[in-house]
Amino acid sequence: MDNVLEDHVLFDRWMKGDTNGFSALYERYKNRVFGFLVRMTGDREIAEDLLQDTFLAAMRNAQQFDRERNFLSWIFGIAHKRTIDYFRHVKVEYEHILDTDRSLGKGPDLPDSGLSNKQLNAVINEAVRTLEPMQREVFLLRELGDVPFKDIAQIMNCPINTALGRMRLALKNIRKELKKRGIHGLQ
Amino acid sequence: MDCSKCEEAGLLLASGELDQAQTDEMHRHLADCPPCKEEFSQYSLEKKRLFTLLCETTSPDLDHRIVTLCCRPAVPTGMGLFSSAWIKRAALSALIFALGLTAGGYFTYAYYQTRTSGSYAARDKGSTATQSASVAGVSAAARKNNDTAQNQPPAAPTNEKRISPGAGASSQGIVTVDLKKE
Repeated sequence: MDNVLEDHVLFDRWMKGDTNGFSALYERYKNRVFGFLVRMTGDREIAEDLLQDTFLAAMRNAQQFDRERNFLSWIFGIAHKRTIDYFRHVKVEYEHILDTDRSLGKGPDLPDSGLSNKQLNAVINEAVRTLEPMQREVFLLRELGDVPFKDIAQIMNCPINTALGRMRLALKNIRKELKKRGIHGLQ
Repeated sequence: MDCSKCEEAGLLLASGELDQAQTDEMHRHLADCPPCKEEFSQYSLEKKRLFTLLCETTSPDLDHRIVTLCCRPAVPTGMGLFSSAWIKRAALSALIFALGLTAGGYFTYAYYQTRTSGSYAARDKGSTATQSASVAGVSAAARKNNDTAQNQPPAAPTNEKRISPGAGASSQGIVTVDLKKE
């Protein structure tokens, strides 16, 4: 809650022209938003452009920010819109991306023990890639953005139960994919 | 609580979206149901690990670019009417209005020019007939007046100025003479 209050204070400072306000907000959330964009697009360069677009759009539409809402939910909502716009622009359907991702093949099966963070990261990436696009989006919004389900439902324009169902399936599929690669649990 | 609903309720519990009554009910169920408790604990642990694994580090160049772009003087909240977009729209509207006004003025001027030159031409054409008709009218009226004056006794002097029909018509420049009859 303190974090939320602090976000609002930083946001107000940013709007008053204090560059430290923006820098602090950006530093706090850049890696989460970038992680979301990288996994949604599957391309770091595109994700970099979209990250820039996201924060610029936030600056342009600052007046639309609802103070009752969480700043992170809002910024993830913008990132979601940018991603959708990007896919519309390049005329690529989610299903197509899914097929492409699957056609890339699975990563190497790694032994359970002695996995470095980098290797585990690669395995998780592969597991996330195998998710249905809608499941992937709910999963990333929830896990990276810490966006509440009611906000996810609003962002994705679906009932909250649908969002919950997608999340449940996403977790189940990720566990299944990890198990295939010999990883039993992420503890 | 039913175990089939526990999974989704667990997700809502983790995101802090359950009210107090629902939270209590969920905790009671977890205390009584070891499989659901294990499932919930597993998710809580996975959540922390997943978060670290899913974050991506940005490059310093990208950070610098974004911070530079987004730290330009911001528009103060509540000043939307005076934003640059609004000014652009107002300027465009004014330009369109000015162009419309100029075009309208030009066409009105051209219309009156055409109409005026047309009426002059018509007047020039009709003036010869008007003059001859006026002269004829005046002479006819004078003749008639003379005849009347000769036949009638002289009228009492008056200050009223009398204008002969022919003279009046010609002085006003409006002549309604049927040339065929004349």
